[in-house]
Amino acid sequence: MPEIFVAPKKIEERPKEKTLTPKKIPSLPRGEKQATNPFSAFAVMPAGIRFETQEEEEEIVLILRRHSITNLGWILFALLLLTLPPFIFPSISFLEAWPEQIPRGYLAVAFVFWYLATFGFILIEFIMWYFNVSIVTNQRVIDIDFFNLLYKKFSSTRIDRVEDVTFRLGGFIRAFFDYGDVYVQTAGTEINFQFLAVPHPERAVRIIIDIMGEEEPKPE
Amino acid sequence: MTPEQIIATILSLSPFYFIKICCLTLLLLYLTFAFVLLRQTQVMTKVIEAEISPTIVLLALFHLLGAIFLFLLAVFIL
Repeated sequence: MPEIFVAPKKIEERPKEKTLTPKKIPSLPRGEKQATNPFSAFAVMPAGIRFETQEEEEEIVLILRRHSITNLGWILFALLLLTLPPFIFPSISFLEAWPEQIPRGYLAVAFVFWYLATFGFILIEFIMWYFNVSIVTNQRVIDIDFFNLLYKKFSSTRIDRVEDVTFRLGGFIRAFFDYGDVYVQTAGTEINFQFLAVPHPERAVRIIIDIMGEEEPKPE
Repeated sequence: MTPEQIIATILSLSPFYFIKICCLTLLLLYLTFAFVLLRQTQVMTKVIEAEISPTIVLLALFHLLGAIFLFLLAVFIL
């Protein structure tokens, strides 16, 4: 019997894989200069820096760290630790404050330990500042936090999921040194980002908004 | 050796032996901390690869070597 109607075969559509869409490599944001200082807390398109999950076509546009002035507290403390032993240890020796029964070797070990611990303290404070970064690429916003030596948090969101970028700058010291907090709000249940005490928050917000603008579909 | 003899031997030792053991334990803990610091610095430099990363790892290695040196110094001069 001839078939009157044959239903067309359904072509199964494979679900599109969620991949990062390749974006064009950005040019230098307007009004910004490329960062050359490796210790910069506000580095625009820094050369020679990569991060763990960076894609091939992904380009770092901005790296933010806490403003350098926020390190002043531990730097002063470290200077104090470095300058104290030349005063403390000789005075213990010369003033005969060291009990005769205790061998002098303890004094030498204490002296070396003091400087070693101070060096360790400076190293920890420096790496905790240097490696706690917020990164803006042409595809994503990334926040890398090391809360202490043993705990790491890596969070990222695609730039097209960013809904709002705001900043807060308040207080005399923050206004004087031009640093503040940048808040990146994302769509839905995704986490929001806080870049705390970063330099030039206004410029950072402008750069992120510029990248978001490049991502928005243009009207036909 | 009877328990009384053991106690008598311990009591006859200088108190500095106990202080030395305490110091060496403390320095051993610091040595462990220095090793953790080196390992963590290596992890951090893998997360963020910068030009100065090898220098930072080298500094952490110097710190560990310093801790080893101090531990050995304490073993011999205390």
